Amino acid sequence: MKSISPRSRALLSRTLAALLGGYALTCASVIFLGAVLPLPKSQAILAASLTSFAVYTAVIVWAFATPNLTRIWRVLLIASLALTGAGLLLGGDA
Amino acid sequence: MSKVQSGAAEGGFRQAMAWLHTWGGLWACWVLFVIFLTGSLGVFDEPITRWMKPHLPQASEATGDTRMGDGFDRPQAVRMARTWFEENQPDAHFWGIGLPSDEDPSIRLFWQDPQENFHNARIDASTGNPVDGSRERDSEGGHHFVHMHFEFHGGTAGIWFVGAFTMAMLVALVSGIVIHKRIFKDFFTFRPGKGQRSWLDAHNALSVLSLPFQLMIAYTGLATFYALYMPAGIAAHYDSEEAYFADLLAQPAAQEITGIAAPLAAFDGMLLHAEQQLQRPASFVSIEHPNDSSASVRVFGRFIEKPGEYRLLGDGGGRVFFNGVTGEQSDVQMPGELRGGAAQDVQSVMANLHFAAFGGHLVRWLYFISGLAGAAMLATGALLFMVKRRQRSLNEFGSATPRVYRVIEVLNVGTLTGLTIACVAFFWGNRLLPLGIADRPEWEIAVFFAVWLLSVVHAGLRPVARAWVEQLLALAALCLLLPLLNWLTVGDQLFSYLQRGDGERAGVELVALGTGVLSLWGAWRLTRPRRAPAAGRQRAAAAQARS
Amino acid sequence: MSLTLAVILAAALCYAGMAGLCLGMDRHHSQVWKAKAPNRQRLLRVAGWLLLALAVWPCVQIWGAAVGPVVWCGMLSVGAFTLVLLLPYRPRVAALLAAVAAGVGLPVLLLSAG
Repeated sequence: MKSISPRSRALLSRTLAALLGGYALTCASVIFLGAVLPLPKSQAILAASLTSFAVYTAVIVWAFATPNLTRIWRVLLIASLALTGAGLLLGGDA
Repeated sequence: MSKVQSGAAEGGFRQAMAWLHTWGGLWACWVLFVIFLTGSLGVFDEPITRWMKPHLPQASEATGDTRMGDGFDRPQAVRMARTWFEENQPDAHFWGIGLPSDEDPSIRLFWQDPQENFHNARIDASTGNPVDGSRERDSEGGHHFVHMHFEFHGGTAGIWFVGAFTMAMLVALVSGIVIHKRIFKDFFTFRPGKGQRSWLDAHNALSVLSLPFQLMIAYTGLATFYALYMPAGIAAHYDSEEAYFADLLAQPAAQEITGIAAPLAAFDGMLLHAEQQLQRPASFVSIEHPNDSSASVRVFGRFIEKPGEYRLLGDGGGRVFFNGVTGEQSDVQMPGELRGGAAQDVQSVMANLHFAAFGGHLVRWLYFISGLAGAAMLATGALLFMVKRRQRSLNEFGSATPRVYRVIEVLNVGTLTGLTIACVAFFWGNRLLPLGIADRPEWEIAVFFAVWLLSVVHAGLRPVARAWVEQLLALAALCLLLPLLNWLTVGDQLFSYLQRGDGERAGVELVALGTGVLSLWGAWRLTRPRRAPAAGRQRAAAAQARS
Repeated sequence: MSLTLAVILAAALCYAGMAGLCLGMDRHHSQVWKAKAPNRQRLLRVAGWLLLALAVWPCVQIWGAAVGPVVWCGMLSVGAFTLVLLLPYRPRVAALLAAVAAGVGLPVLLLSAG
């Protein structure tokens, strides 16, 4: 089998970061905003969900505009974990 | 790893966005074209259904009539439906009863079997016997286009598929705005007859002039299915989706099946009580977990379109919830009553904006035109990609480049003209399939997919230029002969529709004729001897020879 | 105001307004007139914006304050599409049509509003 060129591997990594990492960060943003928006919880989640598609778009655009791949993965990972953790703690679900 | 050149995220923001727009747009454009074309047709799902089911009455003007008496005995209808369910589907987890109305005088039955599969049937409102559909034209109607549009006939997986590509659409729109250097300077610019330049102009003009619509339709489409696409918030903060919706809409939560048998309360009593409460006829009754001690019943009020009153919010017909065993009312939401606060209002407005049913015929036509502009934007983008590369390969895929280009060309033909042919073939299938065959609607859909597949195969076997012309001619023939086919098979045609004032059915044939004329014109443009582009090619060759 | 009249008025005003904005630009002004005319171009631009703003009126009359602006947005696109398709082939006809649309549309709008 032909090995994948470093070029393709970098592109694959970036695409995965944008799509999967971006989706993870978007989910984290909904969990976080659902806990902190000053609305009844169900409405806060709805408001956060409606905003989430703009968040996801912005994250994808950012991932395809930032040259440094390692940085993209690092930011996505830390931000997703931090927002999810904070959302669960503040929402009283953890 | 971060230093490896891949073409992505190189050379500053605008160049990075150009790369993203080109490649993200390319791989998404064919699926998005399907979504846009079928969505535009889906705007007119009711007229299409009427054309496909000649036995249905002509559309009536909205009267805003909320009177109970419309000649249908709804209490008797729910009793008949219940008898049918008790005899045929006693173990179902869900029963649904669509009540008779002027639009459809039969009783429509829906149920979910213990294996979670949905089924439906129809019974006659006067006899309670199954409708003998062998003499009428059983058809999927315009629903086919709506279902292609939001799920490709693929259930939940299909909805996810469409959602993923809608995200790609948002990204392509945003990156497209970034890379368009002179949005306002080029706002009205279209220079025809100049090859690649014209394709770019057309792509830009179509996108920019309908940009508010394209952004709105993509975003509201995602917002419609927010609980499916973004379940994280609900999953993190609630035990179940049902619990979330019960909290959001302040309504009784769905009950788990207990397995303890308990007879249902009388349906007609609940129906009459609900109609009294809502002050309008009921349109639908749903029963969760029939004959279980957890049974619940919901009665939905009819949606009543008031002439001259257009709204984006609060257009619901209201609903009344009952305990299914005791028959006691557990909640009532009046017509137009809003619940769930400002966030739910925003979501409802978004969903209504997407469904295009809020402003009468004109709004439907505006959505149809804007949706087709979106489809044309995708088509010109896809063509532009190849027009740019036909003269000089950019070698993006090394030695495989010619093969990849060939695949792109085939997909262009197979999607742009191929899908359009399949859509018209669906109408032909409706008129040509024998009446009375089992699963006739499924056969219509099979015709649609078979013709589409054939078009893709045809595009793959023929040289590109020939494939375009042949498919355009096939499309023109199917469109222009559709009224004739209708006349031969059903005995109705455009002029009789117009005479009767049946604008909906006439509209279907007029749009078909218009499409036919346009594709004939397209085929003629492609086959007539060309001068200007040839000169352009010579210039390009001369320039290459000089350099 | 009847529905038909509102649709025609909104379409006419949107088309004329778009044409005003368009012909006020150097590039498109030269498609219809030979020489530059800064005053005429400024006038066209102002008239264009005004006509587009006036087109909101028939939309809101029929569709109300919520749906009316949505219809107006759709009409803006349709007006612009018509213009962009007509302009490169028949620039003078496009300009003449805009003049007629504005010339007939404005008095009708005033009459129906009064």
